[in-house]
Amino acid sequence: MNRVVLSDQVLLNTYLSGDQSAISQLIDKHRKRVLDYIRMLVKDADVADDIFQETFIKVIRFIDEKRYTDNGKFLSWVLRIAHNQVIDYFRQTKQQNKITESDAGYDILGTMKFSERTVEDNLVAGQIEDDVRRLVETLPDEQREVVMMRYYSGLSFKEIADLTNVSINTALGRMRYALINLRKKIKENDLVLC
Amino acid sequence: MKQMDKDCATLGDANDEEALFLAEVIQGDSELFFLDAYLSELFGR
Repeated sequence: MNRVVLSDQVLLNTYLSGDQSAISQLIDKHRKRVLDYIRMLVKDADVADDIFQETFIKVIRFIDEKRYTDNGKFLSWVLRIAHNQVIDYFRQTKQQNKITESDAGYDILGTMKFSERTVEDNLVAGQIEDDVRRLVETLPDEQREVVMMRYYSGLSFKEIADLTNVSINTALGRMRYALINLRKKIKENDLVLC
Repeated sequence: MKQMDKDCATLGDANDEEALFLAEVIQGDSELFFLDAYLSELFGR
């Protein structure tokens, strides 16, 4: 059965038009990634489930209150909310042995509150996006190639490996180095992703 | 192969690749995970 995957923007607009089922579709679409992200931080499945619920309660509330302006980065926005929920959890439980607040508050996310973006913030975000695109262009050829194939062309790693005549492990390795390299460049350029 | 089997195989491959991606590329680094999500949306995957 072929399933049409609606874009986040379409689902959001559908929800805001009164179709409650659209928000369920939106949550289901990103459930795995958000849950994986939270589990990676808290390393406890039950706690992750609770934080997941809290995250999407907040997400829905912000959307209902018109505090989310779609800029094509819905998942990134949700992950920031999830990230802040995790930080709140660690503050409450004071479980410093698992992850410190400084570890959880990574440089590339910064401290800008996601729900208080002004017009100027949006302009800054646009400039940062241009800067990140420029940094991708400065990656070594092999790393840039795999980044563009994955993110721009939407290819699987098997397809990337076949097209570049390398093993899938090599393609995965190049992807990892590309992300590590990009993170380093983002920090060196004092960029904060938003 | 029946269409349903093909779809299931495709879904299985996708799940395997996602697991491989998490294990080999992300390796538990949540900052890289976030960066991947950001880049996915930036380049419109």
